[in-house]
Amino acid sequence: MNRREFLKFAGATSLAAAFPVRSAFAGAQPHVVVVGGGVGGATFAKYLKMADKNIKVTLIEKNPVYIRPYGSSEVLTGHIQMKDLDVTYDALKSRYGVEMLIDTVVGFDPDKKTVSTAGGKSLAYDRLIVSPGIELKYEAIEGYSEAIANTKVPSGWIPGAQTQLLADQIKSIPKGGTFLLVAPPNPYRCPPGPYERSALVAEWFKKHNPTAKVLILDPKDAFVTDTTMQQGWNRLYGYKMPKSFEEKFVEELRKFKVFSAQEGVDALYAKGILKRNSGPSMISWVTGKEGGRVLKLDAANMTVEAENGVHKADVINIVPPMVAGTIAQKMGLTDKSGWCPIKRESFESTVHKDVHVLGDSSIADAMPKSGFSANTQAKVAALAVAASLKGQQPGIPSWENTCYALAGSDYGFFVADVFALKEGKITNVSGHRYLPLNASEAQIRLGAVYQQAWMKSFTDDCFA
Amino acid sequence: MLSRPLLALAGALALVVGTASAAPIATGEMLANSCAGCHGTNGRISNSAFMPLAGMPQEQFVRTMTDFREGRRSSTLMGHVAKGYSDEELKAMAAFFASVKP
Amino acid sequence: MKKTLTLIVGGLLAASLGVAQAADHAAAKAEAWTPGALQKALAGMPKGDATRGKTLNTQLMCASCHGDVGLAPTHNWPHTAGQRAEYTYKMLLDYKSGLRNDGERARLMNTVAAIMSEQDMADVAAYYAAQPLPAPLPQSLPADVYAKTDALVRQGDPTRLITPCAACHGLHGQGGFNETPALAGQNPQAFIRTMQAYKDGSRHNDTNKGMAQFAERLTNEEIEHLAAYYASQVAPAK
Repeated sequence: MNRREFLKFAGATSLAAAFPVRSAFAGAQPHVVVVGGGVGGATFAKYLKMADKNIKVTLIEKNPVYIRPYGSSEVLTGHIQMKDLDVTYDALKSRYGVEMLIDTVVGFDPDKKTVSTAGGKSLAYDRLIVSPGIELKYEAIEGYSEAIANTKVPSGWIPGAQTQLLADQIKSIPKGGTFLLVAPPNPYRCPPGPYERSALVAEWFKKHNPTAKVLILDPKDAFVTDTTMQQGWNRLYGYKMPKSFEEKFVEELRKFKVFSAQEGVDALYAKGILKRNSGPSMISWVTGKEGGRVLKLDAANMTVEAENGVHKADVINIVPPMVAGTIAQKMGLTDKSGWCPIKRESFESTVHKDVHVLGDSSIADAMPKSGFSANTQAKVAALAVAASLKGQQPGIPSWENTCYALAGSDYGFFVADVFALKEGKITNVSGHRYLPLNASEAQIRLGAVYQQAWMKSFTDDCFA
Repeated sequence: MLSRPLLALAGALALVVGTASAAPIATGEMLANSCAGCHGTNGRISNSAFMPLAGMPQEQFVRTMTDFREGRRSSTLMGHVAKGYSDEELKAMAAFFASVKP
Repeated sequence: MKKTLTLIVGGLLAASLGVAQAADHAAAKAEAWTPGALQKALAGMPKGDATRGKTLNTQLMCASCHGDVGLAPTHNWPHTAGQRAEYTYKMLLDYKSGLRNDGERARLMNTVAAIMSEQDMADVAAYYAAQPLPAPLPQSLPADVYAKTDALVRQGDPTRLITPCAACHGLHGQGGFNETPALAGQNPQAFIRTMQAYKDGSRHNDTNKGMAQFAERLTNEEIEHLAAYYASQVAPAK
């Protein structure tokens, strides 16, 4: 259904639209409708009720149980099971009084301020929050499709049956086989994610299939946490640090006065910052510069054609390019980039008044597309909406992001940012974002403990 | 337990009392909300590797965060986060958490 | 000095990476202490080097929570300053073996202890033992409550088969023999958490329920009073 058909659909349900469901206290009790029960939508609903319990909040979500994407790569190694990813909406209902509607939005009228659902409901809103996550563009890679992703070459970037399929495939890789991961172009959800997934698969191989290999084909030459992640690969999986990154390491260590001006690449190895690996590496990362951009998938023959040649693998995992969640596109909230432009201090859409877009779908400048970003964006928006329903201006915003990442189950690190509004843009105000390259082993091991703790604390802050 | 509006008020009052500088800053509530992803909603968390912040005396919070920020106290991650906040902002966050019943 | 430290950190990191890889999450079930086994373990405690312990206190991130000199910077953590070396050493052994696994907080200690040798443990223990006990907090209990608590500490409660706390922990909470810890000046929140963990069974690394059997018989109110009592105690100089 294209955007025009989608909007027209509102007209087709004219009976419902003419008599939209309003609360008995219409006018007195504002109604805020949230579309999408992921991290952004759930956090928003909870924090808006915390800010003002007299606002009626309805959360429309198509799935009765949320499957959390963060941490879902741990299913691939059997560290957790699919059911461990399930999150219910019970607490939002019982503890905060959020009204849950398990349904799909099929129509939207920004003038009448209504949305209609597949279930035949029409809801009038004072403010509409859209937090639909991402849509995967399977077809952007020739030979790839959602049908192939569901049956043979899974993506699993939105967790579900594909995640389990991928986990099963990894376990059945023949001895010495190859796991090929196709990394996405920027911008995408969970910047360290494809590389963490590669590391966790390598860790599993190390225990169960020690001659198997992980090959990453990438259109990019850099990624968030690329130094600390490669350092982990280097220490754990025999990975040889590329020359350009050795230089990056030296530069950073000098900047933080760990290295003197005289100390160079040799010191990286002499001081145990990196390991000199002579044997074969379990992980290979082919960057864009090296021809890592993927052109074509041949699922029947299990080959991938990249700019640098054809690669055969036993398991292929593709993280395709992505855009804003489908519903945001249909509502006309996206611009030509495929993402949704917003006013920073409230995350209100610059396209439609009284409609806010949260999380991955929004264009949030320096903020990465991550669960943590969506969570703090939702809190900023909740306070802004609560203020605006009282006729007040939004307050001064503040955001954070922390992405913990693992290179192994005892090897944790992170990217951490504090953001503020500077000259109209969301800007990092905290400086250095990564674990220092000379971090002690205790810091690294504790990083992994905190990564695990975060899975619970974060889920609770969003949903409980 | 204090209600959210009361907490916000407590933060705002602390702000008025605690700062002399002219540059406006976010409220304690707004700033403290960013901590909740790890330290629990309103800083309340139990049985976690992350520490609760609810009810932490204001002076303890400010000293802890400035120690992290200036590198006097080692950390995995908190030093990075602390660098993003001014003294005034830390005071406002601290006032918020001090006003929450643990 | 700075350069030396960097070298040590680098060296340690390189040397201990093997340990990190070998560590397995599904650790074998830790065995409880028998009095004999514990006595033997404590008798075999290496001689601690407090100077090296000071360095480890920083490198192993102990200082981040327990402070540079064992004085915890927030109420979330126990003070370790002035603690008996045998107690610190035994805790580190128990964290490493997994015998002490009282909740998610314990994971932080399990994780760090996993990369400590017995010598490291003895050194850190010696460093803390060389520090003075924490300064007392002002006495905050009403006079009658203080008197009742003081009686519990000095005389116990024979009707509930509670022996006097002082019998093991000293008249002023300065600690007793071997692994019996000092309590004077301890952070009351850590004290309460500890006693509750003994009471609910989540902490069970004591020998023959040496502590748990009493914690089980104390009311929550008594535990809170004991926490305030010990926080205000001044132990005699060592």
